[in-house]
Amino acid sequence: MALFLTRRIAAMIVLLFFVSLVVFVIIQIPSADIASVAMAEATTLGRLTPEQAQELGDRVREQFGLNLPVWQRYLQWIGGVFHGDFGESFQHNKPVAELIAERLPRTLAIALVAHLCATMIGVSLGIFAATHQNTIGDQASTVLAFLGMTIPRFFLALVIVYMLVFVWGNSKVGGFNSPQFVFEPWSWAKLMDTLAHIWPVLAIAIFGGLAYNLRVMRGNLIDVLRLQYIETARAKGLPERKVILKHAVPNALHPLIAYQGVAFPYMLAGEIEVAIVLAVPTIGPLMVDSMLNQDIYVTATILLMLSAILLLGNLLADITLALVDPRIRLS
Amino acid sequence: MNTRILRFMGGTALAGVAFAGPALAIGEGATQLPPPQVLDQRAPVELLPYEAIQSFHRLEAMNQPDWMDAMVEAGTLPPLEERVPSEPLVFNTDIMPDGAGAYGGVFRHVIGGRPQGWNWTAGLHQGWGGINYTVQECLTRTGPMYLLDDSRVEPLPNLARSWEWSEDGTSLTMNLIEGARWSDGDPFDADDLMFHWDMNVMDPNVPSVMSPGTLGEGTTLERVDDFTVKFTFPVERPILNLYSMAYRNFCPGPSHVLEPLHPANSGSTYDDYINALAPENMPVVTMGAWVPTQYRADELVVMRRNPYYWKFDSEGNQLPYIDEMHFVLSTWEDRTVQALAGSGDFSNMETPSIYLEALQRSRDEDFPARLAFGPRSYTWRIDLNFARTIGVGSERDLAIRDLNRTLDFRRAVSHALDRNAIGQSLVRGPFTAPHPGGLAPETAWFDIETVSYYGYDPDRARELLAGLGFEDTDGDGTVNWTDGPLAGENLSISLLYSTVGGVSADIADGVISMMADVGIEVVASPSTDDYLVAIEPASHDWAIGRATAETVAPVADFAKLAATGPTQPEWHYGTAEAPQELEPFEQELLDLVGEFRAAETPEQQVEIMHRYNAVYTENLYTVGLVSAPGALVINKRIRNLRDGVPILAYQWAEDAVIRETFWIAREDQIGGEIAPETIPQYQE
Repeated sequence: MALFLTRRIAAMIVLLFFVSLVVFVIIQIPSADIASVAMAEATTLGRLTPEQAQELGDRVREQFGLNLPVWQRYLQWIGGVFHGDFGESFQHNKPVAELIAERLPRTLAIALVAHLCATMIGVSLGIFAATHQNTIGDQASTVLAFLGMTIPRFFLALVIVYMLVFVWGNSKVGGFNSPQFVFEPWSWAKLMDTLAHIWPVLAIAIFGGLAYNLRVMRGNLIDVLRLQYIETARAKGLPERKVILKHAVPNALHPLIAYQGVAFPYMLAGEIEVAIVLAVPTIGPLMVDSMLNQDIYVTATILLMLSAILLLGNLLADITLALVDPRIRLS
Repeated sequence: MNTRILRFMGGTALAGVAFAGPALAIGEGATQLPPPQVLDQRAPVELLPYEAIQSFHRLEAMNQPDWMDAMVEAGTLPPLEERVPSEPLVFNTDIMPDGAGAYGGVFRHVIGGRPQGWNWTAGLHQGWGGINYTVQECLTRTGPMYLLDDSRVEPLPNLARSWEWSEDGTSLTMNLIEGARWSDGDPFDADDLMFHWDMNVMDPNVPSVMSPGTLGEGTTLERVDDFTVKFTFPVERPILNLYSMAYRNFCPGPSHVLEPLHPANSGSTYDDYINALAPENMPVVTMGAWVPTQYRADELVVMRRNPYYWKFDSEGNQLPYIDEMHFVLSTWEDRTVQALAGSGDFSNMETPSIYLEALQRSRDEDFPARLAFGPRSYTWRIDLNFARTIGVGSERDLAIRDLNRTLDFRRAVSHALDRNAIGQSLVRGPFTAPHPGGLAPETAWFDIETVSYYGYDPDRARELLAGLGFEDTDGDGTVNWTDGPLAGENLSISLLYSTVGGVSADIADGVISMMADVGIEVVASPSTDDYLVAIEPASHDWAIGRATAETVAPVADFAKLAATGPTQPEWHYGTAEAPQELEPFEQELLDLVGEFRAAETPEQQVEIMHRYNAVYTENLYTVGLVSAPGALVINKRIRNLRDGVPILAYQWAEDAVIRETFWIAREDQIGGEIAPETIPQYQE
């Protein structure tokens, strides 16, 4: 096990290094840079003259070392990463690490809640569907899963925004809290206000996430229920509930456990589009905003972070699988 | 002579503006621009004489909110008379649409930007969307100038209460407001201006917005006394410099706070100085109407009324009327969503495709917001890239650039466009109008009599293309080059457009199909970047651009109207090393802009701009597409909003509307104040 872990972690570090290289090269591809964005913004929003904008652009290029060769910039950036310095964000005028630290907790909170709910509801519905095969309930859950997997999340988000604004006249649109709760300590009222603001993000993420869990659980459980040892358990006179929950379900969970490794980045990605439409200040909108504004160190850091989470998730999934399944552990 | 200057046309009297100067003929093959449809949803702007808007004078009595009176009685705040100038800036209540207002309430902004910091004098912005305007008070003010009638047209006094030119016109003495104080109670005086100039503008290590050249290289500023400063200019009577003393140039920061932090006095680095007032640094010291008092990254900036604010209404009420202002830190798209939802109070709506839906909904009594349409000051155009000295990667690029520079080709392109159809594809109804290119319609700068309009006539477009030697030699429906390095190839042109906002993408679809009808193959080249970012390499063939303030209020941004430098105009870039190769008419436009800069009277300026637009449209410098109005989305609770405010003219609407005079009736004050009945508290 120790050797297994050591090898996996070493491979992770090497992979992350290559990811950082690829990411850094990719974000240099657009012909525009952060100085171009600063100039455009200063011209349109700040009403600067072209000469003033040009001076600003020159200063920004100097400040962010954009006149240096890419390899030199990469070395500077990756060198800083080892010391916890991920560079500076021009758009926000603050260190990238600080920027991400502000948004990461709330992003993780949303993603985890959505992920847990999606898993629990999806697995429960999957068990129900598998044990009530070809009934109306099974068919309804199939339709639900089909819709959840096929309707684009951003489309659902747009529909919800339209309904909130034009149909329901709901003023709790966007953000995490109403202004009067922003500076308040956490309380039941603040939690309710938060939920009133972010329920569309949670609902859409859960709806999309539970579909996969439901389909996989249903399919696996149906397969497992056909196995001989289940028949044996039934023949022994065990109650059906015990047969399913104790003997069948744990063995149908393997693919879902493996899925947890990639699920988290998937949930983050799902949260991204919804959070953008609903203007919830999490990592997703920050990443897209940084891409649009060529805020390269923000983009690079977030992509590196997502890669690290993906790899870490896979590692944890492997470890969990090894712990629950002696066949994997022993092999 | 009926010269109506700088004013926005109210209602439909578009054809009423005429300049009795030399006759300006329209171009060969051009017609007059058809008058636009009446837009019933727009109320006319009520124009005012310069002196009617504001003045500086003594008030018989001064009032403030009751809870501030109580603070004075309790000894926690000095009496009002001791906090403000004896002759404050006074807005005339008679000309306010809803008159003097009630104190209290919250004004809720939503913005997409984030404050970089509060040291605006060192060049940092505070996040746009009205927040910069709130904390930065400048020597002069241009935002409300759209209100001015013909009698006197120049920037309004602000921190400078008056000014006099010397007889030779090379120096300008500015008299500052006396007795005004920063929000922490420190007196405002000439030292604040001198600090801004000497230790920021003139210090090459400080990235201030204003540079030594902004007012003309060699300009000097000297302190005459505590409340007087004198500018000396290298040229005679540069009256346009008064515009350059408004936002975002001559807006000083508090010298008593910043001067000790400057590297010359503290031994700190310039980086430390620039970022000394971080967004978290509360409360901010400002001359503005509201003071930032609380900040939470990515969520909210709260501002409370400035107890030292130096502007009043003519009934003696200290402004602002509204006690608290919020800036929710969100996204630009969310700004409109929240304004329509009623959780925000103010937004600019610039996407025509949602006008109808929003308009219909806003008519519902229970809908929280109303729409206030301005003039048709948003104009879209095709920018045919003129650059020959940069962005040329091949013989093909050069051939296209030369074609773009050929007037008959531009005429053919213009005749191929059904602008009414493009407009209706954006929004059905009378909102849009065909645009000939050049200056925005519905301002006095625009003279319909002298505009050349090359309207929809696809047969004429085909004739012009044939005259240039293009012929469909392979029968595929697209004309071919018959001469030069591209002989035999299809006439294929890429069309760059930004997908930000979506309007340009919608327009591009129409342009592509209309060009195909006359045999020009146009290939879409969408970019997720902002337009100015996308065109920076100047390597595109055509681009869809949206004109900005220079076509609406040329006096504020005249340098962008012609090739006054290597980075303008946007469709003809060059570099300092490889300057643009100007066509004769471009040189003529450049000369006119030079004339405009030197003009001494507003009448001359208007006459020059009429000539400018005649040359521009006759030569189709850009191929105009459509014009459309922008709309302010504003909560129905808010009083004192004037009709017809342009979203963008001399400044953005957040400044033009004069928010310090907004008020909310007591019965409409919805609560939601985060720090009711408090003023900013500074640590000693």
